[in-house]
Amino acid sequence: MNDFIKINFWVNGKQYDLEVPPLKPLSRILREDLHLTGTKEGCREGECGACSVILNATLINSCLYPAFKLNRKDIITIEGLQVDEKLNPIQEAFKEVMALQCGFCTPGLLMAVYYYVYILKGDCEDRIQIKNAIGGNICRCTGYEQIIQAIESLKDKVR
Amino acid sequence: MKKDKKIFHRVDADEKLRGKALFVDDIYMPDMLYGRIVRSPITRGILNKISIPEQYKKKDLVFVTYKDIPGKNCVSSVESDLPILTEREIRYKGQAIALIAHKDREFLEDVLASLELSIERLPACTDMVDSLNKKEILVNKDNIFRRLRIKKGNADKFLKESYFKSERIYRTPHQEHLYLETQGMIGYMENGVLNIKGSMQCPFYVVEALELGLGISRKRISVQPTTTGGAFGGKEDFPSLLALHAALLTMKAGKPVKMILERGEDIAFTTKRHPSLIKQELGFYKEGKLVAARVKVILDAGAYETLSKVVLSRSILHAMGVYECDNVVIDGELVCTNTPPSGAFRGFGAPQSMFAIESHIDEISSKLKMNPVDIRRINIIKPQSILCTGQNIGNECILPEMLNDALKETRYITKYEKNNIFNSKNREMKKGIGISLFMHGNGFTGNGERILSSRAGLTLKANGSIELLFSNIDMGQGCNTVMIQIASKALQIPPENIYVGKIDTLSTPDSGPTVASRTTLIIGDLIYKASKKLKRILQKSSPREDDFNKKAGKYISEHGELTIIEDYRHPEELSFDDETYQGEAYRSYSLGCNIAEIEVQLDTFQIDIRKFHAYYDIGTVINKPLSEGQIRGGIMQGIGYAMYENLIFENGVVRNNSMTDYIVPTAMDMPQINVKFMKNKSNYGPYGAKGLGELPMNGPPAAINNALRQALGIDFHSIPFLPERILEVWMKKNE
Amino acid sequence: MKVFIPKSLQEAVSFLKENQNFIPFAGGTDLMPLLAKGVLSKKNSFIDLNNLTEELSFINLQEDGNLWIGSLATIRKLCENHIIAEHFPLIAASAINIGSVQIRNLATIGGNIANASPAADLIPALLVHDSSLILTSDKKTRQIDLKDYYVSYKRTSRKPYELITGIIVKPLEQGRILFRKIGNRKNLSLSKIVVSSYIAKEFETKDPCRFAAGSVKEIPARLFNLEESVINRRISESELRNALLRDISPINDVRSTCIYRTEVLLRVIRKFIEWK
Repeated sequence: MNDFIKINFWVNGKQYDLEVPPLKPLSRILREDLHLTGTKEGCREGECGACSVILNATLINSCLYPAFKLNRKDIITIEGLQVDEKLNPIQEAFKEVMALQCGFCTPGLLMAVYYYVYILKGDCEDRIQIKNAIGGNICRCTGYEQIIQAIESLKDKVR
Repeated sequence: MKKDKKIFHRVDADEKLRGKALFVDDIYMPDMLYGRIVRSPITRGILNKISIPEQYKKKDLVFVTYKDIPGKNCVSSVESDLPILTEREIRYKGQAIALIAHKDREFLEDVLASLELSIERLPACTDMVDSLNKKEILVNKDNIFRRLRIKKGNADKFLKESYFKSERIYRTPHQEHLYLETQGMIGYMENGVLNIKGSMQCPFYVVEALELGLGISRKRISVQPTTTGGAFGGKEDFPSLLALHAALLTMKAGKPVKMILERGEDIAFTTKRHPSLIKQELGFYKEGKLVAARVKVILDAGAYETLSKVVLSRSILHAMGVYECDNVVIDGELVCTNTPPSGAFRGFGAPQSMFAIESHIDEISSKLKMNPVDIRRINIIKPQSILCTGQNIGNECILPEMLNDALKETRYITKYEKNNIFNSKNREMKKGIGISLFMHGNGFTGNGERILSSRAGLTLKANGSIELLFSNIDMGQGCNTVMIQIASKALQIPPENIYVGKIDTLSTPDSGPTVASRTTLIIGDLIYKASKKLKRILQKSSPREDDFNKKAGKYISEHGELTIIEDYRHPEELSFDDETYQGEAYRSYSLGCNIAEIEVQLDTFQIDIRKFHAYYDIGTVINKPLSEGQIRGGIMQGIGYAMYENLIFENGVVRNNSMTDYIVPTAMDMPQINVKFMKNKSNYGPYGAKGLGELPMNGPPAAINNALRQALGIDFHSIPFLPERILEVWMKKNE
Repeated sequence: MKVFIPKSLQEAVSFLKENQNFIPFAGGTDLMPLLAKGVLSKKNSFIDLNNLTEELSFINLQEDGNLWIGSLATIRKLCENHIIAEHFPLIAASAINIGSVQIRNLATIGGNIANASPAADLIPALLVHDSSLILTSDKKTRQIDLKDYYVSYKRTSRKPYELITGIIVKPLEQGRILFRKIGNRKNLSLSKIVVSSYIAKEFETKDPCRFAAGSVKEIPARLFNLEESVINRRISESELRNALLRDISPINDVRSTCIYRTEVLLRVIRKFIEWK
């Protein structure tokens, strides 16, 4: 019980040992300690979704996740989404229909889509479910339609 | 561009999709300090003294006050009246008083909490009406920063003589940009040059501000925009202030300083859309022809005037909407209040005007017992119509055609009649369909582009590739992709051989700010001309060669790299008088028509948009998916402005400065939106293109208001249409 | 800034007995924003409950028909549970309307109860189910009715050395139910009104109806006067209004108005009562 805490966890398949303040949020640990700046902070209150990552196969807001809970956790961030430098089918779909503009919400959104499509095996033809899946990610640029179209286009491309 | 079936992907797609794009907060520098702004805790007063408690003085804390400003203590703008740091006078809560920097952010929080400020409090006017009533005098003798006027014909005479007159007052509130990336800047010194990296729309505005405030030559200033995470106008003027703050701290500290605004700070203290109060008197002949109009547009500039004059200018120029009227007098006033300075926001004064005129015309149709379409048909601009500045709209005005298409394809008339029957029978739920027509003038107003004199061009590099040179920012709208597309078509070479040069104000030509729907139109044209010039030069150097690479190779081996910079030339036939507001205010006007189909449940009074139809004339569509993205994003901001976004000011202080309480639409709130682009070609702009960035913002509030009018039989004169308001008005009406 | 990380429930409650200033930390969705905003700071201390997750995230249907839910069950778990979906649809509807996917994955039912927000989405449904809480301390476990748990704004009858460890949800007899959450947008919103209701099919039973609402007074609460009015078949608009006005005391705030909260709640409830 002191000002720093030792934690050991995995990010994108790599193991890390760190000593950090116990309440430092995961988003800041990723960005400042690990220099994985793809994960963004837009509000620090779990509202915008820009900091979304996968933690033990669930989608979370990393700004709401303190260091002291991190021990032995397994995390995937935007930097871990592409294998061998090739874009993941979700990223390809976003590129194809131009489902991004300023790009600030994009990493978090991609994690939400990854969770819906790959982990929950969600239906890519059900617009209501798709909207619900990305309902925790605010995008101020696109008006969402092209993002939804990108997800719809994934129906034959994944699994 | 029919043959180009190939999609031009966003050139920034890969780096953004991989999370590799570097936004300002993603940059870390060795030895970097964090900077924070000490802000005024009161809305109006006099600052006597600020001091740091003894215990903080030795701990490497960097502390900057106005005394550390080497140049003029003001932020350069249209009117450079905003101080960089407070000397004495405080005009709004949150006004910057001092700056602090340290390597430990938590330490800065402690310092902020314990600073000793000696401030004399003065009574304030935090509302436009209080200022207009001169409850307190804040500036000048009447709290008015500035007045503008447009006059055509004899409005007084014809108003008196008209068969039917209608007078209404409309109000619109602040709107927050809520770009996902908050404002941020990094400053550092390198070899005697001040470097500023950050999120911005207008790198040369930042240069001008640094030159004036720091009193150093622009040769010693390098501004390098980072990937900009959304802006919508919010990063047009404010970054100049933040860059000055970062610069002052880094110059005093001798170390790099990063300043990133917290979300709560960003919402509360950066610029917002101008609140408005618009009074309209419209006079009609019996058959519904609009014969005279007297309009007064009052905008709330906030505590300092800054760029508000040009916002007001656009407001009054759009005050008549898409209607032709022979007798018009439009007065504009900018009023000072003790709130943060209002600033640029997508639409720049036009959305306020469009909401007012489109709501009013619709309301009058029911008073004149006409349907909302007929009154519009009689009065809308057509080819050769004369606008209030005397400008002839020309032959490219396809508004009547657009209206016809929209009515036919949406079956507006049928639905309108069916709704009336439905509403007469149904007591649980009401239906409405509403239409709005709107336009947006492209590029800077009047002589603005002539004064800007933008420069842009390209370099044929030694390896045969083309580097495009311009200083406009791709903040998501996709201008980098569009410029490459334009150059690729003009040069007839694949886009892979073309790239956009990294912007550094020390070397990149000044192509003006990234605002006013001007980038494709003005800079696109410069890039087009530079490309054509390069093509001609290469053709001359090897007349018999067809292959671009071989031509380029030959030229480079003989002459080396080639840079071509095009200077903007204002079309000679366009002239505008800044005093009388007569002439060609804009080279071209983009047009739009929105139709909203809504339902209102009479238990919760929430508006449910069932379908939203959106028609646009943006001239030639250069890149359809990009254009559609701009349009859809703009519509959602417009719907937000109309239905959700309610920045609550209480005594000059924003109460809901969080993403939890400032409500913008999520994916779940997105209705079905059908977007259609009309076929048209502009005489100005590359390949016949017109501007489109701001246009979609102008339509939704009035379309939704007009649908509400049918659904509930209520005329609303202000936004947003929160269910709380609808309920209260409904209860009053049905008591 | 101190965080104590116990390995078991017993360790947690023995520690709390001696260190009553430690704030229990479960999903963190309410606490982390307070830390970011400086409302909570490094001066505060926390006790992490996450090692107790296995022990305390059960969802078990008992033989008597009661549902036992561990306080560390996440909202997501409530959404996905088949027993809840089938037999406790009010709870399911309340859970699915909380926040976003991300929030539901982290937030816990115990946290939603302990945070004591008047707008807490789950509470009206739990109140309609006549739920009770299990509070555990070092040497003792006690049970308290949820309707008695909230004392005043953000204050509860939990002692600082106690932890909420479980919730007992009683089943409803056959009948009609209503759940409505009214927020400022369709999701990702805090309730400006949240209401759960139940009317028994056999109205002549001793417990024919229950109504509860959130965001309409300083604590989430049962609407007892309204219930009495309905039981006595005084269901004209003015009778319902008068009863409701004795149950609630809504305020104007950044999210809504007093009038809206009153009128809309009344309309929603009337529609439900009159529904044939």
